[in-house]
Amino acid sequence: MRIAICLKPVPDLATAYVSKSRGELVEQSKRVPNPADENAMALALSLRDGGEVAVFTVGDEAAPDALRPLLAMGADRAYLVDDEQAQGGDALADAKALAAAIRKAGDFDLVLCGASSLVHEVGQLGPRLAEALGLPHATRVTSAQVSGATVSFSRAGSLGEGSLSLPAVLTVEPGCNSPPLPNAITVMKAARKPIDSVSVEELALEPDQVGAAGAAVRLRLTQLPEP
Amino acid sequence: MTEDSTAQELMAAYGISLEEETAEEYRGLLVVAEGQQGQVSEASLAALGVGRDLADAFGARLEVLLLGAGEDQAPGLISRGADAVLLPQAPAAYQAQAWLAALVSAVQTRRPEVVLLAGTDITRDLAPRAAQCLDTGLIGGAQELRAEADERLVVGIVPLYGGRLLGEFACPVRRPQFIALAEKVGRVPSEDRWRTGEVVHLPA
Amino acid sequence: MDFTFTEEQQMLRDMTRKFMENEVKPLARQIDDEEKIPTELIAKMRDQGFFGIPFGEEYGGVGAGEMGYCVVLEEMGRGSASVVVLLAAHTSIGTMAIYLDGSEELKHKYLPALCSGEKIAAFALTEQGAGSDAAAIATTAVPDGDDYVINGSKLYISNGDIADVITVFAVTDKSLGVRGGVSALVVESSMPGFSRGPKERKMGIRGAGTCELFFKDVRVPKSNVIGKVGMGFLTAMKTLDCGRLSLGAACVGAAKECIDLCINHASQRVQFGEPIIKKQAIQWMLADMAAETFAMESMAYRGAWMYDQGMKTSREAAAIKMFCSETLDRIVDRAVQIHGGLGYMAEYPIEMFYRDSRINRIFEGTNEVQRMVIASELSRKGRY
Repeated sequence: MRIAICLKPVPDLATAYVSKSRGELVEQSKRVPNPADENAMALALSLRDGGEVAVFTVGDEAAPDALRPLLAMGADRAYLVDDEQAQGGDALADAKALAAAIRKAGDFDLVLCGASSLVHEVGQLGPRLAEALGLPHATRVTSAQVSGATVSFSRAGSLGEGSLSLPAVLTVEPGCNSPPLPNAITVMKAARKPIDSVSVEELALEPDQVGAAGAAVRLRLTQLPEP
Repeated sequence: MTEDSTAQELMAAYGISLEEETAEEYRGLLVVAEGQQGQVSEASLAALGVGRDLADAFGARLEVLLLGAGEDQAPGLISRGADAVLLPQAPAAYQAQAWLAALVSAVQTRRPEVVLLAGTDITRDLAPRAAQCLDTGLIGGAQELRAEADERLVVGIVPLYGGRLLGEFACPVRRPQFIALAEKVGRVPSEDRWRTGEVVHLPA
Repeated sequence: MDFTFTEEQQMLRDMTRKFMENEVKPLARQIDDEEKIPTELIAKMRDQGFFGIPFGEEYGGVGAGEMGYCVVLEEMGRGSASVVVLLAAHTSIGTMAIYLDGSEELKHKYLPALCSGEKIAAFALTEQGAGSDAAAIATTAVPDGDDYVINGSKLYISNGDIADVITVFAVTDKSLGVRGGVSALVVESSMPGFSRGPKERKMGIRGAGTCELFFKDVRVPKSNVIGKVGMGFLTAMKTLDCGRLSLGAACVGAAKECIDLCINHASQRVQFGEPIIKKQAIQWMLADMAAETFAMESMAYRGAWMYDQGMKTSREAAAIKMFCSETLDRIVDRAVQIHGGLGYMAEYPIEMFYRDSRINRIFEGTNEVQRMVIASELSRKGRY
């Protein structure tokens, strides 16, 4: 199976702290993979049956820090949309960029991403990606099996079990499985796996569709919660 | 229509175009209400309460799109603040494609400036896809809303990093502004039996 | 000079740190109390590929070199010295002897299983009458047909209790002494005539198994000789050089962990109206510990880098072993003092670091031997 994983690099909350004076999160170490994306990766590894697992992300020069752990877990390659024009986008813009990158990389049987992120509890990317790719989707998947051209799954929450015909997009519930710890051998191999840079031009997207220019929602400010 | 049709293909099949419109042409609020076993859920009623406050701040009309329940629920929605209850052609049980098409179609025909949803498993499944189809923004998981009436803008306050910070989000240009509330936001409004409103059957 | 770690080394460090925090640290006290490393933990270490870090991929190793190995040992050193000894005795002396001097055939015979951790290695040189005076070993290997027959015993052998593959040093020609009379042979624990004594009870590294090994007419095929017959002493010295190099890295990890524990404790312990970290006496102790750790760390990784470059590192390895073991002892001593009474209590890990540290000045060649090595090289060279 060819499986695409969409990764969101997030701040390392173990070392980041909230600046009271600035009302902002201050990062102190490298970006890390969004935990739910690691669960998505674990699911992909269980379904891959040979095949290929590729990771896609929109990011800047901090992104490879978050990509390498997924490569060490067993992904074969990564694609990074690191074009400056693609930065600063919201879910609407990023879904377009990622969908274009995925389409350009070939036909995938499954597209997986986390159902939510450390940043924002509520995940939007998965359903948006599905719409942009023209594929059916299911959210908050906790486990899945593939048989022929059908994927059947269980979901967290009230939606219960279901199935979809492939190709499809699934969002994976954080904590639903145990992502493999990279081992020494996969770590050494990961450093040699390719991370391909992808430009907005190569994706045949208009600059006003992606990045900050293509974003519909803006974060106006952050502040500390009331005590 | 096959399982794999996008909402866009469905729209085209229904003869509804998705041309860009300017912000001025969108007016009013649309609250999406979900039914469970034929009854409008408490979460949806709470969203209606939040929506009514916003509509009053904007001096705008509020319509409720009722999915998963029937016309018998309309009076309860009207008495709690709906100016109109829209009844789409959609199955009573959640079906992703059909409910998506109903929501997108309702937005296209009624042209609300804000679409407000409760935070449920269904809306998490539905709202982002609808927003992508309509090329607009969604503020998800909002625990508090603030109306900026002059700009006709709804600002959503969303917990970030597990609540360590709060973020203020807005969708300044694109319409409609999709807002999904966090769970347990708002209260079920009390009924005002003197309120009146319409019941509109949406075309298939 | 580029002092940065490569991406691979950084990832190895992150991976080992996570493993150490999640799997090793929580068991450190139990390992010490029960004087045993759980087999489940060893199995997990196997799955993580920890047993083959410096060895070439062509033999089933991870291919991370001495630098990668030191990174892993440093991180493990933060968690449990017993686990470090299990790993180090297996890797940098037990398996390393075969890796450095074994024939291709011998390497392909034993290295894959050793690199995967399926089999554990040990290094058997020390005897009752031969500690620092390693040349005084009395275990014999007598040729008989296609085999050598080994008789004798070895003392204080790390991993002696669980090793499957043992590098044994024996006298093959008494008349030649160390120059041509000692050979290194690979003995498998399943060979008839091999037996182990009971585990020794120790001051520290109590979870690492240390015991006597007995060889009574153990037959070993001649093809199991490592390198050439009679060249065993050279193999021993080469291998010990390698082992000494990496001991420093493990000391660095222990030192850093102790400093972190001290800062944490001193920031919370209030005496005379303020946290003791505000007191200059404590600050100066911490400052000394930090400066010393920086020196240890710089030495350890420079030595590993030199080794990976193929440079000769006997003197540096001796200096690293000697300096880091003595410095760690001073650091853990100060760590106990900073913790006061709590530093003496078994409910807290500091006393374990204190007891575990002491062996570093003794094994892998006592620090007196290290000084002999350095002095003899200085005298031979005539200058630094």
